[in-house]
Amino acid sequence: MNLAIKELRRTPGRFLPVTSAMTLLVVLLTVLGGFLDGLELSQTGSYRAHEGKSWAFSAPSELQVRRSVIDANTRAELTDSEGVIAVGQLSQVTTTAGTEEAGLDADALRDVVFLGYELATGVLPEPPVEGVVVDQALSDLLAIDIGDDLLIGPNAEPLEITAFVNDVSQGSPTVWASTESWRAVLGVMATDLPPEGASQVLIIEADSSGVLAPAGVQIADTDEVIGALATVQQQSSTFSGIIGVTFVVTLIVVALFFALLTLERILQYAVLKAIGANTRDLLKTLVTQAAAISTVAVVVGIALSFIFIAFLPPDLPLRIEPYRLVVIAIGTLVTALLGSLFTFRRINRIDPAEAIG
Amino acid sequence: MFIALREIRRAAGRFSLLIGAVALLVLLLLFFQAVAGSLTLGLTGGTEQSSSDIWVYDARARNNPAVSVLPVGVANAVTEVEGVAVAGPIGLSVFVATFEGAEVEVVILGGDPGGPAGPVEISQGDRPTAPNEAIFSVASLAGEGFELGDQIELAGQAITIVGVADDAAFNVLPTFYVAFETYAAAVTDRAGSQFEVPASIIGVQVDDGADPNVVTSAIETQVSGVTALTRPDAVNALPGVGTITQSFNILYLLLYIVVTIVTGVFFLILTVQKAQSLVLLRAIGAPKLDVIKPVLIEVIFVVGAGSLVGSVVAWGLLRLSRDVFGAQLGASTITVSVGAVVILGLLASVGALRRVLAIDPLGATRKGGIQV
Repeated sequence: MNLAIKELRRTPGRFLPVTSAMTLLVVLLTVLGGFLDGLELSQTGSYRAHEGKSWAFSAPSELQVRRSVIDANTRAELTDSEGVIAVGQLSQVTTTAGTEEAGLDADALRDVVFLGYELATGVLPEPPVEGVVVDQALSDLLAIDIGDDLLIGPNAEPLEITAFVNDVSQGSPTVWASTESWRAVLGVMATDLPPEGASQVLIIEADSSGVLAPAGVQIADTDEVIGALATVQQQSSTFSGIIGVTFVVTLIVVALFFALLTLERILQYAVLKAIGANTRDLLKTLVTQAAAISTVAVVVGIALSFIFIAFLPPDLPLRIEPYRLVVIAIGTLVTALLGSLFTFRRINRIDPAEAIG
Repeated sequence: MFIALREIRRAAGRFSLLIGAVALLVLLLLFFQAVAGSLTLGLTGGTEQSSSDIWVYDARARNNPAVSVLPVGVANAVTEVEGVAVAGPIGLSVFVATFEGAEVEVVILGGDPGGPAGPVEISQGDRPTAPNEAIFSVASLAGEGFELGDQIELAGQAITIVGVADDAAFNVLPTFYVAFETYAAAVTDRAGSQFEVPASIIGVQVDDGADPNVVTSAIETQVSGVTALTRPDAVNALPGVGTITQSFNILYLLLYIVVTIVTGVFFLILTVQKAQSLVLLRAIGAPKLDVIKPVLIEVIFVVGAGSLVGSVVAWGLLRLSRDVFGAQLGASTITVSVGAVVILGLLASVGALRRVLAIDPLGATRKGGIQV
């Protein structure tokens, strides 16, 4: 241990190239992780706002909100089901929102997902009788406040902002109104509306006994609904795969470095073995150095990532989550340790007799 | 050449590891590009391949056809504008259709498939002549593929594919170009009531010789409540395209930096390690060029072999995952990426080359050679 740290202190320049390479790999991993979490969280906020509730979809819709239509009869049937406390409609369309002052300036308008809802959740307040609940993300983009009018949809219908809620984006910021207001605002100009009295999905509040799905209806919890979002799952698996490959590259870089370092030190290792050190002692030196290098790379890499991300356009779907940083830190450390052990065979073969030539 | 190849043969393990690292990075780079290309094409293909020279949107739609809503009558007002040859309503929405008993999500584009609403070229079959006929275009990232003669059911209407257009999809979904009445019937069926179905946008073909930019300005001046964009501008304005391009560009940049650093670090360490041998070589009369050449040959070999392996694996993986990503690698993409990686690899070796050039043959006269 002492020997490893002493060498690091005496010749830091020798370890600088591999530390730089690993630092850059940590930056790449952090940015990739940021995209992975950013894409997933920014597209699932409106779903996660219904955590703890059940969702009812028309059976063939494969848990896709825009493919589902639930009629009034099914709602009545579900409302009367055992264990059901409350049932509320939920429908959505994509449209734009802006402020009176902005007029038709395209840069001052924003794409929004406009949702009509009936049930309050842990995140969403009771639907306002008149007015809208607005995603905090939209407030940041349009500089709007509670009491301001938000002009929604193709007809620019004004609705007063009654509250802001955090982390409810669905690709775009979301705007929430009562089902009645939602239909009134969109009218026949929206071509995506479900029939009068029907909704795309139903949100169900039930007791612990669960809900029995009527014929033609599929009941799912929020995690299942998010899991069925093809885009989210595809992005998630693609980015996870890429992060995995990046860890393999890190492993190769560390293995290469320590392989070369070991070759360079064969004579010194032979001397150490000749004076009583065993293979385990020598490996401990390498592992300690790998741990030190990766710790520096993780700390500097994460710090550089934050600086790098600060210079990126704010509309990019990048979000750094603390648990992701922990995963990257542990992953880098483990990868570096594994990489340093690649030289085990070479060190084990060193003959102390090599020390005397 | 001789020394370089002998060294590679003798230290095959070390060089294989580096070739592996470069191959993995090239694989990532090419995979990113293929997926980004397919994703972008799936979003922009329909607009790029449109017969319209100009797209007219509802002014509040932020140039997003999925959000734009315009009364059909706006097409007549647009037709009156000087320089406009044909203007027609285009409806665009995502529907659930039935194909061979299974439900499938599709984009329905309603309009005159032989006029501004249709794709500029069709690769198979003909353009529709009846309301129950469609041109189909596949989205590269969408799994569902249809063929000429296939029939889907949409809102009680049986629609037959009579033509196929390449790379003309919208929203990364299978896209069907049908008559506006067919689209309108599907909308009213979904809504459960009858009403005059609005258009999403108005497609415009300009007179021969007319400048689309001038006509665009004239439309915005003479028709209230609309925004008009030429086709190339409409492509760039599509939501999501800019974000995808920016996001992937950042990843390309990081990968190119990592390739450079990894290659540079490897050759720097390798050079330091064999410094004493290089001093000897110089001392026995080897010119500077002879000690530099092996380094350059090794860099080109490592980066070239890594790029080749990475390209082959990326090509194979994309072939295997065609149903998932539908992405393909173009020869130009591979050439440009590999070229960039080789150039960056050579640049990365500058550090190692400088150390080699700094070697003084006099070092051979001192114990342990010279420190470089």
